[in-house]
Amino acid sequence: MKKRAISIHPTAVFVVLLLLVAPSAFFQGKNLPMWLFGAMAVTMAITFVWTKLVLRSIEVRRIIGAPAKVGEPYVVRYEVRNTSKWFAGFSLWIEELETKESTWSAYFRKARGWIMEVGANEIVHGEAIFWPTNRGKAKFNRIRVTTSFPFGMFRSSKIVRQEVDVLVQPEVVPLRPSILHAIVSSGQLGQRSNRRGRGGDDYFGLRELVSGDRLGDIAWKASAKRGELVCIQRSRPSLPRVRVVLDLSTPTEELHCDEDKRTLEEQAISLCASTIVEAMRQEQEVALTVFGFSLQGVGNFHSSQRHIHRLLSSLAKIQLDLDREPIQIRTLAALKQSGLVVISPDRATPIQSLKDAWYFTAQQFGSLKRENERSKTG
Amino acid sequence: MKLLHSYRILRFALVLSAILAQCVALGNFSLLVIAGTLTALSWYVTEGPRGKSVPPWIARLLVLVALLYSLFDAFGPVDQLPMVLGQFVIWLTIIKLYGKRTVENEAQLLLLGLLLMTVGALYATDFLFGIMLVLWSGFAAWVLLLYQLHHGMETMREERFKAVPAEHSTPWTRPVTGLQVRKAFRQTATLFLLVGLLGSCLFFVATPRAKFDVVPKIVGVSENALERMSLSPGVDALTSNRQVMTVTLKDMTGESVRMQQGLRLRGAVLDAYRGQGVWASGSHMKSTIETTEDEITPLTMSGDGNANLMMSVVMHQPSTQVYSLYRPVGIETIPPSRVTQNLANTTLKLALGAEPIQQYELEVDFTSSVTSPLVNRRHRYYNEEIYALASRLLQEYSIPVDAIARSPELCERAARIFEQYLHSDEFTYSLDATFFSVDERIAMGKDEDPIASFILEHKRGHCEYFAAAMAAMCDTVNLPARVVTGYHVDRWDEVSNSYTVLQRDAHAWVEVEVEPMAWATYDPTPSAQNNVNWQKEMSITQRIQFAWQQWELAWQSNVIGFDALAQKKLMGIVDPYWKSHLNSVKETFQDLYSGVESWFDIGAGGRIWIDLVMGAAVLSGFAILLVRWRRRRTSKLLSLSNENEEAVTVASVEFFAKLQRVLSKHGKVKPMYLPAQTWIRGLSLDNGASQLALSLTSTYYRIRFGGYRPTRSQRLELLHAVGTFEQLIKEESS
Repeated sequence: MKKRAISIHPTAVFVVLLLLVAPSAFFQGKNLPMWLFGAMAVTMAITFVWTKLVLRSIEVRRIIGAPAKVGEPYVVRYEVRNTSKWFAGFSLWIEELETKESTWSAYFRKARGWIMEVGANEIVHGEAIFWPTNRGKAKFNRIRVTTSFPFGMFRSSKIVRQEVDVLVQPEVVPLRPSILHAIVSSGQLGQRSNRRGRGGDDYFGLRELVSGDRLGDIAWKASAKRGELVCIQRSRPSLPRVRVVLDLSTPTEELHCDEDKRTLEEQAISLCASTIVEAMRQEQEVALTVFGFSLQGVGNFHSSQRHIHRLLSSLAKIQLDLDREPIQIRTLAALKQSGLVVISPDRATPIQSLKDAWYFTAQQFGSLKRENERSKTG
Repeated sequence: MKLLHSYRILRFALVLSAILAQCVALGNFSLLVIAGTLTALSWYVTEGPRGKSVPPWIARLLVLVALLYSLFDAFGPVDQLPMVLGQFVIWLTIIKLYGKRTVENEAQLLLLGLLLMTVGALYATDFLFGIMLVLWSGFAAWVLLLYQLHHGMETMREERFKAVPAEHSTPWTRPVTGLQVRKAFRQTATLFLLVGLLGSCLFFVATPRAKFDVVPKIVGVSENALERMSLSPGVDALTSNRQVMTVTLKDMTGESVRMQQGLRLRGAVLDAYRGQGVWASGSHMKSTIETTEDEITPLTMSGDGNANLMMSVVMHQPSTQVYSLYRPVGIETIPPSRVTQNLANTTLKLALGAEPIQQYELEVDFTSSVTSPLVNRRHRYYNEEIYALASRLLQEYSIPVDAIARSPELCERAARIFEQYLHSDEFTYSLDATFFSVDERIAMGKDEDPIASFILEHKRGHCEYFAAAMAAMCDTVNLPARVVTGYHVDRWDEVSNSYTVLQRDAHAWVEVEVEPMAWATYDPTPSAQNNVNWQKEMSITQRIQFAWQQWELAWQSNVIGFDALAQKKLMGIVDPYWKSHLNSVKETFQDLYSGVESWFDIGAGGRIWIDLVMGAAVLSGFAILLVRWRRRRTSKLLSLSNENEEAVTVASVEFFAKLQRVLSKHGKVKPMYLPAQTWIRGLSLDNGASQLALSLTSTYYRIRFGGYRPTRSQRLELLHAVGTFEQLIKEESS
């Protein structure tokens, strides 16, 4: 059985000691207990006044950086400014307050920041390390600064209002590399023309000059012959492409499984995110399609870090409580140009027009994970 | 973190000092040695990389043993309970010191230290503990401040390691501080210490003590011996440097007086020989008077004596004995008490049952010779051999024994002969009874007449032997004599202009009735004649001891003995000081006012006119302060720097500050980092309110950044618009 620690508040201890001294001081008229009583009472008064005084001159601002990711620590920074000209603030605890308007506690474990000292007229930056537990959009609302310095008998706090939304991206776990190798063959696939710039290697053809083309790209001889400015269009080896399709078109309650249906959906989202990151790791261009929800700007193929963040953020924004949209035939038609991975929460139901795709379910998530290693990318 | 480097050793030193202080309070040297050693060992065992600790079950067992041991002790007197508790807490602290080092354990150790000092304060009154308590309190405050930071850092570390699973990289756990954390900490801690010390002292001084009785019930050490003198070889004379009292002499003009022949304070007169070397007070013509507060009460035994000296005595410890120069005329005791005066030998003592006192003042008629109306002659000393010796001595000077009683001159001569005889080289003054062998001392203890043995055989002893010998020789030849006990001192303190009386200054001398009712003083002790004991220089150790006792006296009388009377006296000193200052300030204002009045003396209405002008001045002052306050408030809210303030009239943008205040009342506080317009646009307001807010914001931008300066009427319109906006917001929220 685990031993439970009994916490005793310092004020209670002080009051007990005061009660021990008081009869001797006041009823027996002993002078040493009298002085001790006075010293203890003054100590309490100093703590009460000092905590109030210091917090009056403390200003706090939350600084939010990149989105959070489930399964990775998330650092929230706080800028603490002491506007007092004379007094330094010591031992300041900064924590996020749970209010009716805030939702962060559903997405993060509780965490606190601690500032040992902020001098008079100084600014310091503290931080709290949160641990994201769920994907979604967390709303931070109020910050509470607390101190009980100098003697810990009284705790004073100040609440600062600052509303900020933080996206918590789904959990990304390393998948076995062989999965994507099976879908998309490794190496470069064919040539693709470069519309802009000199990025390509080989000659592809000529085209009319458009705004933004460089002078170096102009084919001067051809332009002279044609009487209009034309540019050389070049090509570069194209990266393999994979499209990850997340099928959330089935409403949660209609899923066919015995397990917690919402958990399965979340696992499907995590598997989707992990597949995207694994594709990026294998230098593949990746695009995302989500059935059941309309997400903006995720359908194009790219392989940049920024693109991956966009995709993961889009996954973070999915609200499973909303009504699901039916699958559009037009959408299906556009999915045929690349390797396809279709992820469903409950069971793999092959779509008629996407017969070449690989189908995974959330229930396979455990078996697809790479063992004893965590992803450092994404 | 450099600031916290010293924390562990300071915390240990704090606990160790609390344990030592408790041992000092208990006065238990062996406990001090054992507890000190165990505490010092705990540092070696539990700190550092070794980091061993006693298993919890053993610690619990030890606590149980200590508790049982203390419970066994607790069945003693109720007064001893705090001491038993103190001893128990010492053991508890030592056991805790051997426990595992955690933040909680450290907090418990600090609290146990505080408990040790608190329990010590419940019963200890000595100076050493008092000093330790005061110093410890300051030290404890410092360590507690460090503990707060240490606790914060450890908690932060623990939370961060809990927040991040082990497979992730170690989280950042260095504390966040400003640029000069150590300097800031030192300054802050010093401020706390000063405020704490000042506040606690004020509390101590100002707390009313009318109902308290703080005088410790300790009776003087040597006074019981005064009324009875027993000559025994096993009893050494007192040679302690412990201070007994401080005596100040002043003449009637208030000038300090120093006696040429030293100060001879009479305590008791022993005129009855009880046999076997015992002298006691035999005259009991006593009368009791009540002394009153702040007033000298005349003594009935003094007759028509005129006071020419004022004698102030401060006793080191409360006493029932009253020491005086001859002859006391009036007395005032602090606090008022009942004093018994012995009419037979003009000595004073507190009445039976009266509370011991520590301070008294006497009016003395120093010019008078010692007179006593009655003499007790019932218990006289007589020994054939001593008589033969005395007769022989007198015959050597041709004084017939039978003639002594008839002539005062012969009486005086006879007494002088005996005194000279005892001063002769035949006799040796010695405070050390160990000069005699054990067998000799046993034999002397069984001696029926130690006085005769002293005079005829041993011829070695201290002042009591010499005084007893002279009184005995006088008695045998029918010359009335008596032994006087008290103090003889010449230790003059140049700083305080007072005599310091130590225990080793206790002395015995002889008074001989040379004329009817007139007694002359003789001191047969050789050391008193030849550079007496009290004139010797003190060694360094004795000086330190003496200084320590001085401090102890000051501590006992000013701190431990600080009572309602002392409080009243202190207020008596402080009150007039403040009153005089307040009066001087009041007078200055009155002078100023009358000066202004005379300057503007324009007839009957002048006073009213001045009042109006001054009232207007005061109101203007308030108005200026109000405007300045509002200006500062607006500047702070809108983050206007001084340069901006010059360019932008603060009054022009007051409306926007008001708008922000209205919104913050409804829970919409502008974040520091957001521009005003972005913030207003982001607010979810009703269409009308939103439009109005945007319009006001754009006006604010025009004023602040576009050089637009609204007229007074336009400013009022803007403020009115803010009022309208407030109405809209209220309607929206309702």
